[in-house]
Amino acid sequence: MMDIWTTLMYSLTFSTVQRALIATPLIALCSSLLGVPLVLKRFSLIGDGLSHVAFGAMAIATVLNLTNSFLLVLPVTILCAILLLRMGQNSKIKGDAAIAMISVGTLAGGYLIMNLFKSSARSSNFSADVCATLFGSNSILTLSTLDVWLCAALSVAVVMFFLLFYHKIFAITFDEDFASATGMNAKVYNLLLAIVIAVVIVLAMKLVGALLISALVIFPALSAMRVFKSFKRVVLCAVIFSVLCALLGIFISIPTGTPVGSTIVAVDIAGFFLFCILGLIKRRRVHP
Amino acid sequence: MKKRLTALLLASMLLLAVAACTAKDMQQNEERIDIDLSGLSNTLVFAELQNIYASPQDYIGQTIKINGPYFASYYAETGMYYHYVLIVDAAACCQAGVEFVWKGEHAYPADYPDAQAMIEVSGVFKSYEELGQTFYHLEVEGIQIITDPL
Repeated sequence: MMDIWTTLMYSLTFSTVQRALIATPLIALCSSLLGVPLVLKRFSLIGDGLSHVAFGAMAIATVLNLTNSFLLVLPVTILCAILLLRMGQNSKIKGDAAIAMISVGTLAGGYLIMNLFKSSARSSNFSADVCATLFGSNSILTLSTLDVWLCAALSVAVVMFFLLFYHKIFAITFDEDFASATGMNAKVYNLLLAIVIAVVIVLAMKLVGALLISALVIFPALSAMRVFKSFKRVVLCAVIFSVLCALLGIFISIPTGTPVGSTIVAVDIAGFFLFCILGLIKRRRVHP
Repeated sequence: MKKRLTALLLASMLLLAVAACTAKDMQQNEERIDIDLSGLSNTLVFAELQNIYASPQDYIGQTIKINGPYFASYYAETGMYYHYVLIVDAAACCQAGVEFVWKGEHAYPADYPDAQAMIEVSGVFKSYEELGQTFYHLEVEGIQIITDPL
């Protein structure tokens, strides 16, 4: 136990760990903030689909040897988020089928591109790149200072969006038709929401990896819903839950050597069960 | 509320102070080591190595200490053996070899540890040119065998 504590304390002196500890709560905050409307709108899997798109874009960025992959991954993911929304509304391929199609298509395409052009990539450690991008084994610990600044700026933008459009998000989350009937342009706000989701997905990919992002979006919202019933309380609880779980996960992972992404998700799962029990206790008190 | 904030602030300051003291103690034990990766978990060592190899120029001339399984490989084009400390990441799907050269005259395999023996080395991080490419290695004074291979 003492060894783990000493290792943790020593690890905190590394700048990579300090950068990770700045980015982690920001990413957890953003993903949980948008998790609540997504879960309520039954769009939980859109995060999964977009994360696969982001992986495909990341593969292209790796092959092109881009210094900052964000510059390619972010616009491509935003474009696909808009495309998914449009496909869901207008085309013959709707909802989950559109998400599944784009999701598997970009995942397979990304992996294929990385395999075909791995010799042209600057990083010769092909399996490490794929592993870190898909499972977030240690990608949060390899952030540059520029990445952290970008992460902070995007986080501020996401929080500002949520605060400024809180009532609009509330309206389109619970009853989109009613919101449209009252003169609100629901399509525009859905579009804005899709863009912000894409930003959050790109951010969260660094923390838990492309395959585990949905956990960061879903678990905080679902856990908060076990205990609280009002929209505002659920959002606040989800944010606190997500930030604490992400920090606990990274504090466990660094000294023990477990993969960062899956450790954070494991803590989220444990937290979810804890909140399920708390919810049961609360209900029994109200209705004995 | 104010009391809680003060308590939280004090707790954070205490944590930082303990971290600083621990780091200082460890640095005092190993005065000449700039980056000691030997006491860290595989997750962090692997991440640190990725950072080092992403911008190696920032680390040239620094003394790095590392431990892990030893392995050697023969490269026909140069007709030489190269020696590495192997680092496996947390997911066990990826590995990286940190190349080292042992200063002085040493014959392989007689003077070197057995493959997969757990070793610890510390040396200066340097670059070298070979076959028109730049490579990086640690120049070490000696090899400490921690445990023999199973």
